[in-house]
Amino acid sequence: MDPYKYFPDRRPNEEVVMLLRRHWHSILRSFLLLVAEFFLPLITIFAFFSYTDFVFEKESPIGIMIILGGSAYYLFIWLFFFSHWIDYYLDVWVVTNQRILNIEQEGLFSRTISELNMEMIQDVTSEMKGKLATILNFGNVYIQTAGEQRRFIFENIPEPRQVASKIIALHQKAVKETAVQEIKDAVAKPLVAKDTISPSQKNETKII
Amino acid sequence: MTFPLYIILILYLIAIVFYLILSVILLYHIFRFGYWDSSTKMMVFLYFTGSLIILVSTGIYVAGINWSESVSILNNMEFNINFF
Repeated sequence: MDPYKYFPDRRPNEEVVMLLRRHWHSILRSFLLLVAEFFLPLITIFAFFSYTDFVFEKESPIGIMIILGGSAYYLFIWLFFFSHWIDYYLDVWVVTNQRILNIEQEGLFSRTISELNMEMIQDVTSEMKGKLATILNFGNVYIQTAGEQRRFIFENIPEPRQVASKIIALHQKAVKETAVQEIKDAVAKPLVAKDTISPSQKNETKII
Repeated sequence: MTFPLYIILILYLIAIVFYLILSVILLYHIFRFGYWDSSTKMMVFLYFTGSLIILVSTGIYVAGINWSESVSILNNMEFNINFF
């Protein structure tokens, strides 16, 4: 899979470190809901015909309504499951060596992309709540940014502790690189200033 | 009160049109924002297979119905409930 597809405005020397999606249990929940929605009308109809003296005829108007209504119902629950899967599939967190991108699909016509520079990170917290989360090893990662009172939340991602520690390591590396770059810039500045003196300016200096 | 039987078919077809429009919108999202990898291919294949199974089986059933009949309602609505 090409993770660079998710952000075409790639910066120079930017490399994708992690591409995260929610844990598979969130799509399993939708699948279990689909299974329940599949069997519920069958059980209801079976119970209805068992406890009443109503005779089901395939070609009677009631029979036609039940079959066509059932067909439409199953098509739409299938469609809703598919839309859940798309919601799961299109919610992505991309962690690069320079920033974090939060790409969120909210329903069908709403898509939010927010980004955060690695140097802006102040605090990273991982959280695993509940038995299921502990057994299946998924949870949330909260990223507190410096400056604004904003929080980035990676919801229900697999291995939250490892992700948090990796983000902290990337943050430290980014801060170090920025500091080194600043020192380099500071050292290079006087040299640049010296070179930028034009010959006419040099002559003026000599006359004085 | 009577109404033609094909009204049920028209209502079903309206539902199918909505279903197809929503399916196209979902597919657009996959192609526009997603990536054509193995999981996407598998999911799209499953979705279309499931949809085709339902639509084809309903189509076969619909073909065997005489839609020129009319339905009378509120005439024979009695039925007995025997829970015990």
